[in-house]
Amino acid sequence: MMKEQWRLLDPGPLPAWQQMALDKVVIEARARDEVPNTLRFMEFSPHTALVGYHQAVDLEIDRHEAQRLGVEINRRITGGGAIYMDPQQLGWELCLKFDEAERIRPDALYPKLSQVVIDALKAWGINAQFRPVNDVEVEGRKISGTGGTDYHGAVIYQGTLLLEFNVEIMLRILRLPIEKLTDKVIDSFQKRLITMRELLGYVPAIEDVKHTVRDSLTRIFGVDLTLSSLTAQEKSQWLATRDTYREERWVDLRTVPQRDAKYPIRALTHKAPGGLIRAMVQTDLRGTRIKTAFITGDFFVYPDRALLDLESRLKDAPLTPDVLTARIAAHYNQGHHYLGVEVSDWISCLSPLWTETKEG
Amino acid sequence: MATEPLSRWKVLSDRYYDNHHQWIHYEGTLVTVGISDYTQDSAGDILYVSLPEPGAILEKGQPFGSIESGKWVGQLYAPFNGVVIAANDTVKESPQLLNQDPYGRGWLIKAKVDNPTAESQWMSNQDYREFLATMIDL
Repeated sequence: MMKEQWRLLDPGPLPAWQQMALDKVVIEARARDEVPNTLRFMEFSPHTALVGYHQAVDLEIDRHEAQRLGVEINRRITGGGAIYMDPQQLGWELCLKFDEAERIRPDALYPKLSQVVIDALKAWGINAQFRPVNDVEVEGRKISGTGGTDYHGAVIYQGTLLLEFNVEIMLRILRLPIEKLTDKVIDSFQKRLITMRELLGYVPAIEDVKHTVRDSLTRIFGVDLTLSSLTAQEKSQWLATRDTYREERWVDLRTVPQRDAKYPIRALTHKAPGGLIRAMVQTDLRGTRIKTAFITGDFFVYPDRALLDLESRLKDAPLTPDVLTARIAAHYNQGHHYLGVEVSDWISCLSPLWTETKEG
Repeated sequence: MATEPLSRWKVLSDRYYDNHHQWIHYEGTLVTVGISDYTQDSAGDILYVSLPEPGAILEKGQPFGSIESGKWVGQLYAPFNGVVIAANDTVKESPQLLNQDPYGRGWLIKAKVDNPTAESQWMSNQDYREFLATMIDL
């Protein structure tokens, strides 16, 4: 039986506005059944900060610092948080359409599509796994963040693969829950990410990494992959539309009323019987949801990755005691052991986030 | 998945559904549109909602807004030709209402439908339950 033919697009390094325009062109062509399912590699040059589709640039990125460092700013058509992309990360993207009769559940789709990267990393001797909502991690540390969108039955699911990464530039341009950029903070963030360089002892050639991703995709989906170019129609649409992706009305599609508005950041501590919990928590503007939490402490916890998993559980969680209690309890039930730190200690630690909002 | 009990997702019997897992409810001459319990459940925490302004024209099958959950942007598709009369400002402010009460306070838009007999093209609650039963894991 003939294998299904998918195509590979590998246009090489491009500026973000051209990449974003290409995303739209490819998903529209796939939705219209004009092109087959597509694997596309994305390399960004110059380096770029990308916000998620619904995000406001001023809340996520320090424009002044980005400009000073020559970092371009753009907006993805996919969801998720702000990211920093430099030429040492490989962007990968699957643009697929399923038969209408084959109704796929999105929550089942993401782990399956992430498997392409997980399997590719296995070829390098790296044991990675999917972590909900949409990360691929190695021993709890993120190596690939992902996001997606749909359009008339076609989906784009895309992510990054960290061959090497400059944490300091990311911390300088993204508005993350840090008070001051110190070596300790850089080290702390470094421990939440992992790169192929750290795992292999060298930075692999990007072409070799692409090769393993291609092999992985053909194995997982049982398809053939052919290196292709854009169709004439795609190319013409891309050339006709791409300038709009460098215009302010796209980059600043979402704005906040006050340009200097910042997500609130709270430094919280709680003395549990097992030790001190410290949490730096960034909430949304209205204080109804955790955006990001970074947790440290001097208590004993096993395995080492437990706190990173807990941070992942708390990401985007509503600031509702019942919901948080359930999520933290579920985290404990996954085999994470904290000595002298109970679920109630975490709730006590986080409680100023909602009690002070109500009072204030 | 196909073997999951139908009762996993709440389906109300007083409204219609389309294959984008949106519900359509008639209230006199106005039609209200929202997302189903299935959508909010499979999406997870919904973080952002983008809705059209009153007066916007709806074109059947075309996106009229979007929702974002986790790291996914999902389009909202117009179930009919018509015009938006009201958009739910409360869900724009508090998108978690879509998770908490997708059939009630989490409604998205109220609209006037061009073709008053449009309901014949949508699924009844029973049809939608059967549609949900065909959803599969990869």
